Amino acid sequence: MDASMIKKDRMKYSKNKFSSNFALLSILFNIFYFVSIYKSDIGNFYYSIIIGESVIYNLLFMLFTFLCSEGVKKYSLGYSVTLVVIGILQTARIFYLPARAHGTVLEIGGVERAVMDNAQYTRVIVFLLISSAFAVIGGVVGIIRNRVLTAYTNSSAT
Amino acid sequence: MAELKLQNLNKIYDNNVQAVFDFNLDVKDGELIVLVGPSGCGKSTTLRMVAGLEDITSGHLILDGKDITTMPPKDRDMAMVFQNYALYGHMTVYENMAFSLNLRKENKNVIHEKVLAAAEILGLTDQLNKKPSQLSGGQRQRVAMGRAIVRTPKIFLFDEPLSNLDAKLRGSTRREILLLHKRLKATMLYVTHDQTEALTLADRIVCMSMGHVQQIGTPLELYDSPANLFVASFIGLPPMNFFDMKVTGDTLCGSDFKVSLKPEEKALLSSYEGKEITLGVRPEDIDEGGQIDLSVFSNENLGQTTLVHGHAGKIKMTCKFRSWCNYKAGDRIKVSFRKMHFFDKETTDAIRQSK
Repeated sequence: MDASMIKKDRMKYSKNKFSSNFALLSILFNIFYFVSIYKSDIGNFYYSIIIGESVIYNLLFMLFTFLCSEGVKKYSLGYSVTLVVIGILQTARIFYLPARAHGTVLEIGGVERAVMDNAQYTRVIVFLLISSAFAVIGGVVGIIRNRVLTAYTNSSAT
Repeated sequence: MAELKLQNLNKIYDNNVQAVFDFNLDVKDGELIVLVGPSGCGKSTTLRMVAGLEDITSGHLILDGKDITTMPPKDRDMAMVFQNYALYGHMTVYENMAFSLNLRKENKNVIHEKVLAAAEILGLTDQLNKKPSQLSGGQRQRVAMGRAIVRTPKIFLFDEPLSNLDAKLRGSTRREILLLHKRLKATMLYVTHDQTEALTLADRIVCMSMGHVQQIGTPLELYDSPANLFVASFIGLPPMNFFDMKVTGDTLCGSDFKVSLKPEEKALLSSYEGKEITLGVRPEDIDEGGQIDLSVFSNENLGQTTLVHGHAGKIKMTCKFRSWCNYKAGDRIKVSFRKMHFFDKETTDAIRQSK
């Protein structure tokens, strides 16, 4: 058996730790995101249905990403695709809460103030993009490895 | 190539209890040595000293000409298989077997090939993705052996590896170890308190008692020519019958029966004329018919053989007959001895022809 075949054969007995770890890193950067976003507590911008949705989404995100981190360990195609979708949604989240907060100016005590200043906005976006990138890369690697393993298993079976 | 010499090994614990006394043994390359003895006789302590898990109080351990007495266990190039398997429960069989090689940071492809080869030898190829909790006791022990095999150590050490298995599994795993030894041609040290394991596996047996080596020899030597009363009583199932007898001419006189001596036996016991000795007779060396009266008190049919327990006068005796017998308690039968072993009553050593 040559080295490339051994590498493929190894996949039958080893976990896809790369994708799994990337999924966990995605969760980590999402945590950085949501501990950063509410720092600028200006007026009552966040005190609406928007905060409820955000909290629920964060919980769902962590739950499903964690499930995916376990699923992709076993080279599951379904979990890998789900991880890619979660990654894309992380990028889309930029336009849901951070962009809205950044674009909103409230008048407090006769002084106009932005809900989210540029520095915080940049920081929050970077966290979301990194979280998104980790999830997408983990998912894509999972899909590729699933295909390689499936092809190898089929060829060795015949 | 792995030759091991144990020279005057002693082990004294901090509380001044001496577990091993002057242990000497030369293990040849590819040899399977079994250390056998009752619990607490020092066999596991000896094995742990060889592995480096116990400090050696005095003596030397020489591996291939190199003194490894004080060498740390990790540098000794020995692999140990424990009674309780010592597998990692959260890892798969594959990961358990690859663990030590991963720690050494060996090439992953090389590790893979070694693990697959070991799994093939042990019949574990289909179990590689399972966790230890999903395996039977025998399979777990095979994984533990696999973990040792992949390291390709100079010496394999087994510390009662079959003790946790049921009788049937013990038999099959024992045969696997024997096949493994023949296949790998590796030097192995095997500790057990089970004489059946010792007799079936060993190239040579080291019989121990109370920290002392009682006899070193092939299984046949220990069975056929035990060095002393302890070895005679420990090796053999059911154990040997012992009788106190007095040497009187060409007869051995006991309190309840007499036994005639053959000329060569008489010559052997010539220096014991008029003295008391211990006569040992294995149950399988007793035949039906003869001069000795036996009052039967129990009859155990084992299929091919029958164990008959009885009294010759006041002395208990166990016979193993190669036929299906149906004696009842109280039956009186005649028996004779086919082969006898003689032991000095004071030293308990076997009486042998002086060379």
